[in-house]
Parts: sequence; structure tokens; C-alpha cells
Amino acid sequence: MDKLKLVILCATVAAFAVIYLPSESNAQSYFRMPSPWTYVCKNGTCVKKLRSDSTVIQSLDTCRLRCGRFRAIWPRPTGDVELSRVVVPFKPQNLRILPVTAPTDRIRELLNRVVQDFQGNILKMHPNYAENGKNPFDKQYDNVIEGTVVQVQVVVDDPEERLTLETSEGYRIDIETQGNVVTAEVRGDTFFGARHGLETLSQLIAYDEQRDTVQIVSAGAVIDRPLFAYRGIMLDTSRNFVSLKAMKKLIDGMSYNKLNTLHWHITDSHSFPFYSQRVPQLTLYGAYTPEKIYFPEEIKEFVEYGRIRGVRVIPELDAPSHISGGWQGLERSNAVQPGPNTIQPAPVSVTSGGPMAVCVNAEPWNQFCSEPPCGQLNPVNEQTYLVLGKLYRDLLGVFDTDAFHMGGDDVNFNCWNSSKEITDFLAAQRRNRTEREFLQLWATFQRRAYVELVRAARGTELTPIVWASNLLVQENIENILDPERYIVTFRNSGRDRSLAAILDKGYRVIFANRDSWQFDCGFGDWMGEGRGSCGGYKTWQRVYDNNPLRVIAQLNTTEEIDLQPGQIIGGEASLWSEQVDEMGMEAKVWPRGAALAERLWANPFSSWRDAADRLIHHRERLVKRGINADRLQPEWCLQNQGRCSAN
Amino acid sequence: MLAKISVSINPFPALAGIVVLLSLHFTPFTCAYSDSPWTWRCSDGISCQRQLANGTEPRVSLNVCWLTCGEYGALWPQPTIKTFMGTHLVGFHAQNAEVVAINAPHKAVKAMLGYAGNVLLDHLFRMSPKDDDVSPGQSNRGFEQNYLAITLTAQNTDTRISLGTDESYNLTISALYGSGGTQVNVDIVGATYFGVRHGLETLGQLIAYDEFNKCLRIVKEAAIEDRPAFAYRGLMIDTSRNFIPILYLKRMVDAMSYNRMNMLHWHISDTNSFPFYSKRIPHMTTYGAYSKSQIYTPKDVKELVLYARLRGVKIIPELDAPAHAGNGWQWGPEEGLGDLALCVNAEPWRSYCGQPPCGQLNPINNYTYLVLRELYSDFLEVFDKDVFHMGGDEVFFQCWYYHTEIRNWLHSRGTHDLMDLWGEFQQKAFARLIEANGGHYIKPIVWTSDMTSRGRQHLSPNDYIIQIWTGSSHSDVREILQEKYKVIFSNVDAAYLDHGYGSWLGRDHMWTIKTWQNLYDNDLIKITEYHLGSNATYHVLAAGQILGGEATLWAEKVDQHNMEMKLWPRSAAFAERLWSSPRNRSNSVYPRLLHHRARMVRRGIHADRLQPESCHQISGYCSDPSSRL
Repeated sequence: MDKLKLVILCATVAAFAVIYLPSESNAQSYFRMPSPWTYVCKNGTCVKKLRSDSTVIQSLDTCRLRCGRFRAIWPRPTGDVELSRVVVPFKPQNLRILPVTAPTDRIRELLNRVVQDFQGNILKMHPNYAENGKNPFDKQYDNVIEGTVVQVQVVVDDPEERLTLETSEGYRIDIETQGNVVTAEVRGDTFFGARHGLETLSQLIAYDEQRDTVQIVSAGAVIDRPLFAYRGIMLDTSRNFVSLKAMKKLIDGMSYNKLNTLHWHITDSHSFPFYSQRVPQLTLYGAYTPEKIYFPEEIKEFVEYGRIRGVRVIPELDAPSHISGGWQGLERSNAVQPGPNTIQPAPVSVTSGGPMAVCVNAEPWNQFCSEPPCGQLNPVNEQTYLVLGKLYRDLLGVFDTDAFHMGGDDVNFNCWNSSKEITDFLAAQRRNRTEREFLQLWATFQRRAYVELVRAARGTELTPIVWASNLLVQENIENILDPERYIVTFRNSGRDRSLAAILDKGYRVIFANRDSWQFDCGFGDWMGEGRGSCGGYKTWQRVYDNNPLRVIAQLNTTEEIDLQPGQIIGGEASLWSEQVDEMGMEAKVWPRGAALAERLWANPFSSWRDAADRLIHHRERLVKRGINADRLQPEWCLQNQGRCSAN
Repeated sequence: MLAKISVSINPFPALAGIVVLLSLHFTPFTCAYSDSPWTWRCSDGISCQRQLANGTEPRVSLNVCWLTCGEYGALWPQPTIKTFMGTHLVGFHAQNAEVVAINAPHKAVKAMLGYAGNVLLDHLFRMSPKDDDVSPGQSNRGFEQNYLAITLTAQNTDTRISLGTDESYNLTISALYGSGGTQVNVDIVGATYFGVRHGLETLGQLIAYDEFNKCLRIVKEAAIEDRPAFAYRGLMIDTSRNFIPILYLKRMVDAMSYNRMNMLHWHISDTNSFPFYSKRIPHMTTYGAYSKSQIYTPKDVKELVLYARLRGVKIIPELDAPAHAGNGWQWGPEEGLGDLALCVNAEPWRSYCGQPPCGQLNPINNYTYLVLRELYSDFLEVFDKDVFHMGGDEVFFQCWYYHTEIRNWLHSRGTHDLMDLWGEFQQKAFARLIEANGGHYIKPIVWTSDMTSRGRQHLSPNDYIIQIWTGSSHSDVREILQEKYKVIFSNVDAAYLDHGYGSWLGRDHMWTIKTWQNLYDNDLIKITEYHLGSNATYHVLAAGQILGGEATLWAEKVDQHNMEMKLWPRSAAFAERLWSSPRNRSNSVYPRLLHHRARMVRRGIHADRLQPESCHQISGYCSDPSSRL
């Protein structure tokens, strides 16, 4: 009865739609003459011209494939690029992937998955690709195209299947054409290098509008490797939840740009979406809703998804600050008086040492934390370390990484100072409640947390990463946090001189300076009325021009900074998610993430101006592959390159 | 996949062990949602806040809590005349909701009301999760027999929106108890179809999904009287800088309808491209479209116009002239008509126009006007015939002045002022527009410009509506109001949605983002008072000079991939400003907006996030103590 009613309703809606909403018409039939335009390569850019004024008839895609030093490749290669201007049209069905040469079955399996994506990306070049799910190239071409074969040979010797900070990601591509056979060989230093090579090879192929097929550069070689080992994006999934489906699309976009690290700020004081098998109360009380949880099996699959796309996922369990969501479920009592915003603790106790989390949801929040809701771990409660150890074990059980982000930012001493357990502890040890003592408390916390991490890793000395903080500029901190071991993510302004101090102590640094690489800025203050604390929107030009070495050189320090080789291991853009979820995420990451990628892959001396045309073109590629990247300019500028300039 | 399925049955398997081990006071978990320990309660009539469930009181989901929290519950924009809502709720299933009677004086209006009713019922079906199995008899909560009966009444025969359409409506809800269950009667009465449709939109906001009882909830009684403060509540989209497929314009209309916005101003062409397919002059798209797949056919447009009308949205086309016209107009010499447009794509662009590519119509070529008439005719075949946006912004005199023939024209008229030429262009173009409309008057809109600043003699206040994009405090605004023009506010200091993403021409920022607060606070009455004082403002309002406002999304950095997050939820803030004209922004606005944004997202709109979910879910909203209201 009810089902019947539903059917009738659907039928009336559908019938109405048929009457009032005629089906899509074929726009093409309205054109009565061929396009009057063509594109000509001039000084490395493609210029739109009337066909009657030119001998060359080619589309923009074809022109880009044949034009400029780096053609349509993004990010630009760092080694030799020698490519023929001759292109060979072929149909995707005539792409022959030769059996890959690999040292192990595992590498072979991984390579085969990459090849699948590679083939899919070629189909997506067709403008009608998404229309009906059919292969738009499924038609009869002329004899030359039907007879042309493109062979792809992928070669990897190294059996390494995990991307680490030491992994070599270099590759070379050799293309040659003999008769009607084009052969492209992609040779990777490792699986990851070969994957990048296939990405580049896909960018040496473009849609051919005249023949309605695809085309490949006929001959040449590309030698390439990244200049920085760590090329990342940080995503926060605590302020707002982001589904793994959306995160997979983020990985897709990263792989198109050869970005290799997703720093996953999985928890914070707002919510605790990670499902902990050992401490499930954290998730029960901490998750926004039961739908907004990452389960272990899902994460494992996600990590593998990243691996195939050359992206390692580094988890962050931020501590001792930026916790709360979930920890209140572990406690009997609460350190702050209940206010209207205070969540009543559950009548449960699994711990005997007082609260593990202090200042939870404390108000007025700006006295106890950097943003609401507040919460900070209690470093003098032994239980805290036990729970941390359990969480580390849970996390290491699902991630596959040689580095682990331990957080360590925004520790608020007033919070600790307001907690009776902590002040009692200090008094018992005859220690003052000074900043120095609180710093000492924090350093001890960090050392002990790391011991738990190593224990959870069964003795493997994982590389710990921490946020830059006032802890790291303390004298003799090197004795507690070993610079040989610790990596520091620097997210202050690039003009902040604490960078010099951190480098001087010998810490390796990941650049994430907020003045250029914080992607969530510029959308208004999420709590107040103004622009927000991190200033305006970071334009892609600013993102591109943020050269870490230049930032260091411009630090106004008295003594010269003596950089060790490899001390700058790379950089990352941060996407804090106060004002981000999967609705607006892609437009906020792309194509600025691409600008970041070229900076970190090639670190060119040149500025954004030299990259603009190629980036605008690359943005269209991202869109064709399904990424909802932001628009940078009117399409007129894409079609009339170099002519949209303020000067 | 398997893992996921088992997960949805019991996401906390390990916890169950702990529960047993520590013999806690938890009841056994039976379904996924009850594993969550929370319930929601309305706090201070401002927002719903999360609390631990105590096990004795029935749990209330966030959406249900919002139905009766505060003066306006979950309604956005807030009703203007009377809002009464009871506190008791009735549960029912979507399949037990029905439009039982439609009263209208005309068949066409009846058909439209049937359609609008189905749009609402469709929303109700979508509120319940797909996997929600509610086969009757399985649960025993007493609402299986409840019934929602909707009666729709439109009093007149209007099937199109004009600038004078009465959009008011009355909505009453009452419950009848019977042995079989409760019948909730909803009665929506409006002067026009469009008023009734707004009432249905409000009804949709009075209903929420209750995940604890797996049913829909509605208040037992309500009486709402509502009408918009301003007749023109618009958004502008530009499809020339970048093309936007029809599908995404429909999605935009959908979202506008959720906010009771009623005017979509379509800046369809500009110098960059000409995507509107003209049957009479197909050269325009051949030369002017970005590609053959980036054009709007008449069929596409008609379909969109109807789609929008059914959702209470009128589409107002703009053919911008004489500036902002270039690509698409280049074919004149080839066809023997001479230059129809000048300076097309000219360089260096700064010498010829305000932004690249350049282009401006040739006002001394008679063929220009003939082509315009043909284009107007094509437009009027697919759009409504009562209002037309003629553009008229940013004429760059240097472009014209570089041409000898134009300098000769000036000489022959004995003038040095190109405003005279522009004025003549405007008059001729308007005459052609009326000609294309079969000789019938049609209301023209123009942007503020040099002409509205110092050439107003060319624009009669009886004929023209002026759309103000000038900054709100500019003295032109005062003069325009004093001279009795009807106006639409799109003042650049608040209503520009595309600002804040960096310049598309270089590295520098031109503008910062316009936050939702900027849009909400863009009070048209206060702007008028600033210029005229409160006494004169009263008369200006009484005379209906302030038609309303429009937020604009210029498309230099916009296309279908990012437009929704740039439009929403900020435009929703402006929608409440224009519908309700609230005196100020009370601290209940932000939480209600967050809730409305969540509703838009559930309905499929990719609205941007304003705050962490914790602000919506836990505390109602988050505020900075240093900038508290």
C-alpha cells in the first residue's frame, strides 16, 4: 500500500518532468560551420588565431602538447627534457601495456594498479567521457590510426614497497617511434618513481580534437626526480569530518601533482573520529555522530589506496594540547565547573589518577586554549601515558609509516596551572608554578609520549614529527628532543625568527609557514566578524613563490644560518577544517595544491609568472579527471594565453 | 564492504565487552544511532546544545530539537508578520503525507501547485535515510497511523512572477485526534501560486527527521503569516567569463528556492564569450562561444526558465551593451556589415577597457542596432517579456575615441562629450528592445555607471530601474534615490560574492571576502537613511523605490566546480536580509544559519562550511569573547 503510493508519487513527478522538462538537446547541431579558430605556438605559449590567418590547424590541447620547454607537464621536471614536436594520433584501445618488469610480485601488483589508473586517465581526456559511461573512443578510425600501436614498458628493479623519507622517487621516460609503433619506456628508481613516470607519460598524451582521438609525443626523453622528499598536504578531520571517499579524491588530486604525503590531523579537541579498538570510549564520546567515524579496516584500505598513488599517509595524534573530544568519557570527574557548555561526565571510571584531560570545554575559552572547545592532557597522571600507548598501538596497527606526527602545538600553561592535580604535583616536588617549570613538564611529557610510541612500534625508532613551538627554542632542549631524530613542522609566519633557532639546533624542518601555505585562510573569522587570524586568502601566486630556501635567506638574523644538506625535507600546505568540509574542500585545495607541488618538486628560481599558462592548463586536466578545482581566470585567458596580466 | 556492513549494525563491538566488564548503567545497544550517548536540548531559546542522555527522558535528535527552539525554530528566512508554533510534535511517515486538496481559479495554477506539492513530498522522502526500514507493525510507537493532509489554495491566476507579484502566504497547522491516529491538517493560502510555493518551502522547514524513532516530526499547531519585505530578492550569475552548464544553473535555482529568493539575473554575455545561441544570428556563438559544447540553446533556456518559474524564481536576462561586448561580434566585416564592435581583444588592454579582453559596440554603425534587435527578439522568445537588463556599465570612452569615424561624429554634432553618443546609443537600443517586444513597453534595468552619475537625462526615472553596484556610501546613490529611480542594491562593499579569492590578473588582492555577516548586515533601509534621513526614507520606501537587493557572482574565478561553495551559505544570509529585513543581527541568527546550511547540504547543495561541526552540534555556535555581540 505504502510502496504503491511511493511509486505513484514518483510516476507523477516523472510524468510532469517529461511534459514540462524536455530532454537535453544536442548543442552541437546548432553550429552551422566549423570553429573559425586555431592555436599557434609562439614564444612558448599558444596563441589563438583565425584559421584563415594560419597554416596550422590545431586545438589548444594539441598546441600545448607541442609547445614550450615543459609542454603540458606539471610539475615541471628537474632533469633533461627533450621532446619531439611531432605527435602521433592513436586510439586508446591500441595502447599495449607490456608485462611490467618488477623484482617482486607485490611491486608487479602495485604497478598493475597504477597502469589501470593511467589507462583510465587517457579515456577521461575525451570531452564527452562522463556522458554515458561508454568508451567515447569506441568507433572506427582511419587506417593510419587503426594501425598505430603505442607500447608502454614499465621497469622497476628496487623491491621497496613503502615510501619513506629516504625513498628515491626519480624516473626516466624514453619514447621512440618506429613505423606505426610508438614505444614508451618508463624506468623508475623505485615503484614510486615509476608511478610518477606514468603520471608524466599521461601528460605527454592529449586529446586530438580534429580526429576525435588521443595523441602522444612521438619521441624524446624526460629525466626527473623531486628536489624535496616531503611534499604534502595536511588535512584536519576533527573540526569537521571528511569522508574517506572525499579523502580518496584528495589523494587522487595529489597523485596528479606528484605530492607524496598526506599528513592526517585526525583528532583534535572538537571531535575524535578515529575508532580505537583498545579505547573505544574515546570514539563513543568523541565522534560527532556514529556515521562520522574512521574504522580500522577502512583506514587500512585507504592507506593502500594512497600507496598505489604514491602518497604516504602520516597520522597525527596531537598531544598534549588539542584533545578533548572523547577523553571526558574516560573520567569520573571534571576539572572545571559545569557551565552551559560543559558536557556532564559519564558515571564511569577506568582510571584512578584523576582526570586524564583537564580544562575540557572550559570557559572563557581564551584563558585556557587557543580556540574552543578547550582540553589538554594531564601530564602528571600515569594513566594518560597508558591510554596514549594504546592509541599509538591502534594507530600503528592501521597506518604503514616510518614517521609519526606527535602534535605538540599550542600548549596552554594557564590550563595546567588551573588544574589542582598538576599544581599539587608541582608543589609535592617543590617546583614553582613558573613558565620554566611548565615547559619542563611539557618536555617530560613529550619524552615519555615518545617512549610509548617506540614501545607501540615494538622497538622500531619511528621518526617523530612535532609542530614548531616555544618548547623547541628552549636552551638544551636538544638533550631531551634529539635533533637527529625529531622533525619539526614549521607553521608560523616565514618571517618568524624562531625558524632560525630551530634550524640552528639542527632539527630537520617541514615548511608549512602560514603566511603562504595555509589554505583555509581568507574565508572570514569563524568566530568573530573580521578576516580571521591568519590574514587573507593565499593566492596561488603566493603559494608558488614561497621558496623555503629564499624564506630562510630573508630571515633577518644576525648570524648566518648554516643549513645542513637535507635539513629542509620539504613542505606542506595546511587545511585546517574550521571552515572546511567536503563541500568546499576541493575548491580550497586545488589548484593551489598544484602550485605547491611544483614548488616542492622542482623549487624553480623563476616566479609564478613563468608557470601561469601551464598551471591554468593543468587545472583543466584536474577538472577532466574529476577534481572540482577552483577557477583562476576566465576561460578567455586559457584560450588567449599570456594576455590576462595586470601589467 | 563487508566490514562496513557489520559496522553499521554495531560500531562499538569492543565497547560492549567493556560495558559487561565494568557493569555500567548502559542499556544494551540495539541499533546504530542509540550507540551514541547524546541528546539535544534547546538552550535559552537560541540554539540546541548537546548533552549526555540520562536514560530516563526520551532522546531528542538535533534536527527535531531545532523545530521548536527559539522564536523561529528552524525557519530561514524568518517569517515577517506572525510566527506561532506549538511545542508538541507529531510523528508520521513520509508516505502518509499527501496534498489532499488544491484550490485555484485556473487549471494552469492547479497544475503548478500539484508540482510544487510533489517537490515538497520529494523532500520529505529524502529526509529519511535510504536504509531506514519502517515496515508497519514492526515498531509500536503510535505514529504509523498518523497522517499529514495538505491543502493548497491560490487566489489568483498569475503564473509568472513580476516585480509586483504578491508573494504572501498564510500557513496553519492543526491536529485532529481519531481512533486510527492523528491527522495533521496543513492549510496554505496565498494570493498567488508563488506565495503558496513559499508556504510549502516553510512547511518543509517545519518538518524534521527523528533518527531515534525513525519518523518525521512536525509541530501539532502553527500559525504563520508571512510576506517578503522586498519584492526583488536576487542573485546574479555571469556565464561569459566562464561557462556554466544548465544543470548547475538549475541547482542554483533549487538553492534559491530553499531561501525564497525570487530573481535570478543572468549576465549571459560579456566581452569574454557569447554563449547564448541566437537563432537569428548564429554567428554570435560561432565566433563567441568558448567551444561548441559551451552554448545555451533556446531549448535549454526555455527549460531553465520554466524550471525556475515552478520554483518561484524569475530569470532576468542581461545583454550587456555597449561595453562588455566583444567576442562574438567580430564577424561584421566578413559579412559586409562593417565593424559591429570596436577594440575587440585590443592590446594594451589598459588603453581600451577596464579588464581584458576589450570590446565595445560600435555606436555609429546602424547595423549594430539591427543586430541588437535580432538578439533582443531571440531573448524575448525564451525569457519573460516584462523586465530586461540592458547592462550599460563601464563604457570606456578611449576605445571609441581612438576611432576616426567616431571623432568625426563628435565633430559633426559639435560636441566633445562622448556621453552624448552613449546617450544616443542607449535610446536607440531601448527603442530596438521595445520593437523586438512587438511594440510593448518592457522595463529596462541598467547598472550604475558614468551615465547614472552625470548622464541621467538619458534615463527617465519612469522607464528605468537602476541597479546600484556603486559603494553604498557614494553620493550617486543619494542623487539616484532623490530623483525617484527605482533601485536594486548590489553595492560592491557587501554584495560581491566573488571577492576574496585573489586577483585573476596578477598576484595582488583587490578585495577581501564578503563574509556572511557583511551580507546579512547590508541593510537597504539603513543605507537609504544614511543618504536621505529617516523621513525621506519613509517616503522612498512607501513609493516602492527600493525594489530589493541582489548578490552578484562574477565569474572571472567561478565555474560549476566551485560556484556552490561561493554562493552558499552566504547568499542565504542575504536572503533573510531581503525577505525579513530584520532590525539587527541577534545572537540567534548564527546558530539558525548553521542549521539552515546543514539542511541545504542534506538537500544536495555544496554549501561551504562556516564553523566546526562542534559549533552546530555541541554548543549551538562558537563565539570569540573579544568580539561577542
